[in-house]
Amino acid sequence: MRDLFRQMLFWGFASLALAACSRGPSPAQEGYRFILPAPTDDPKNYELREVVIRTLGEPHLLAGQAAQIFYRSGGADERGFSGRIARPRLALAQGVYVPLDVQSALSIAVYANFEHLQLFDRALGWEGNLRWPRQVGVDVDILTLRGRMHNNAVYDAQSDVIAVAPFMRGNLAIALNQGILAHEHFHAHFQNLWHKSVPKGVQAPDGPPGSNASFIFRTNANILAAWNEGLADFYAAMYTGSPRSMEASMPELLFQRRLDAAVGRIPQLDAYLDSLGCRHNPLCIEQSGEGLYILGTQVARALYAWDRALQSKASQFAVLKAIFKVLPQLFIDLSRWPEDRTLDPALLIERIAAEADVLNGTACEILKAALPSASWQTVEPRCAKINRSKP
Amino acid sequence: MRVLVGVIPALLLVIGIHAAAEEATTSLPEDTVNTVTAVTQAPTSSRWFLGGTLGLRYFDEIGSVGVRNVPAWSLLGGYSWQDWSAYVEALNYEEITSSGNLRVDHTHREMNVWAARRLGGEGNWHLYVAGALGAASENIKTRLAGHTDQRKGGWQPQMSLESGIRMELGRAWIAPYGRLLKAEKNPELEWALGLQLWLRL
Repeated sequence: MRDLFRQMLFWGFASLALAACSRGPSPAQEGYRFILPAPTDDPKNYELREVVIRTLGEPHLLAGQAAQIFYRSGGADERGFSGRIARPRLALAQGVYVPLDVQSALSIAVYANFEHLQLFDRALGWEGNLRWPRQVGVDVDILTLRGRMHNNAVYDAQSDVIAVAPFMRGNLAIALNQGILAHEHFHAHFQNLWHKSVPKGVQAPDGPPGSNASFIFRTNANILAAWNEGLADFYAAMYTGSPRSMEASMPELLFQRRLDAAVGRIPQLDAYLDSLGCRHNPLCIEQSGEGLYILGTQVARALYAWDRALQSKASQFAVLKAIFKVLPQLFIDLSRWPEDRTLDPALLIERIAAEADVLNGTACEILKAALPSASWQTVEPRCAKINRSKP
Repeated sequence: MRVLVGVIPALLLVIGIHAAAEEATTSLPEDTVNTVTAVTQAPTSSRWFLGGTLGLRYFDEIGSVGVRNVPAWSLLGGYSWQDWSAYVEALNYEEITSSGNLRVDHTHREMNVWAARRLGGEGNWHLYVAGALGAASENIKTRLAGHTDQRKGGWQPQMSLESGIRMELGRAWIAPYGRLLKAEKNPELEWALGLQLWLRL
């Protein structure tokens, strides 16, 4: 009897130990498979499907080569987000990991998106511009002067992180929207490129409040911010393959931000200031945060139509690649910009047009429609040359 | 199949413990048996019992924001003798989370085989500790706008430890308890608080 129960105890523990040592599917190079929301061929529609993540060391800890994901982190400083890295709750069903709650699903989907963004940047030759893994916070409590932020995402230049605020609406959560995350990711490129191109302390200083120098400084900063927003929208459109990538989460912005609308003429500075109601009001420019998105969208629409005009495999992402060539020198020029001279809103497009291999007859037609006459005159000789060289 | 991996060793353990208890009792000389029985005699006789629990299952939030909980309930059935009891538990909880048009309905089921031992006490209450081997399975229904994905996870082995205070009120026992759980595939510990109600048959 004694032997019998001793054997039972032994085999009970032994079989339990064997069961505990058995493991799920090994990650190796095949990666981990997850059930996640992902865009269909029509990027405004998302579906649930298997997504493979290859750069995670383990499925229960969202830290890998591509990103570190934080869920409801308390805050961020120069070192990044504080708190612990997200540990999703998962079930394993036939070799596929299924999130047990929405918090886990959002966090894993953000990681998966940044893995794709890293590959996209690598293909463009941009990966080295940023520090990887990128840090992203999901459902972050963001306090602004207007209260708690909802239904939005921000790039914080000081800490070099992206924070996604809680989503309180019935559409696709922003953490799942690949276009909006790509938009914020571009801001990191813009910011890092500025810091790499412009030596510290070189940037023109702000003037005394209300002075003409301050007005010029703030106007230039506004135009630079508008370019940043427009380029981010264009980058998101190239990454997602959709000119309407925000639609799934923010359909009310579709009319204002879609890139497949008619290309409008980019205004000259005075017309731009008039559109903001700021031409004769030096303090107004600070309150015109929304207005810069209008200019940004005009720039992005011109770039998008221009990219469409270069349709060929050889020229894939040619405009996007040209932007990255142009920005460092443009930033250096801007850092030495005369303190008494305002920027021309069309200067960015002019500079990109000066790059080789981004013009053809159709692109020139688009630029003629998008640029004010003074700017068009600087591009026209190149277009004339292209037209002359046509058989 | 996986449920067997968890439950069979648990059953073997419980039977082993029971056999050990019997062996310990029956191998003593007759005069010693009377003494031991007098000291350790349980206030209740050996009986079958049925019961249930109501409680809260806690798990760490996936980030840095502490813990969250969901209500859980279970049914119990087993046998008690002297200081020991052994029982089987079927536990269930459901959790619904959503953000925007994404919603996850998660149903958790687990089967545990428990061995519990009475510790010291006074009057009609006493402390107890318990350990269980079992297995858990998840049903997950994920919905995104018009799309639905439904999956059932395989049974995963898990271990549990529990301690509480058992109060006897006639044929009924009530026991507030705390529980720690470790599932094989989950690197995190989970814990639970609840109230057990047992009825001797």
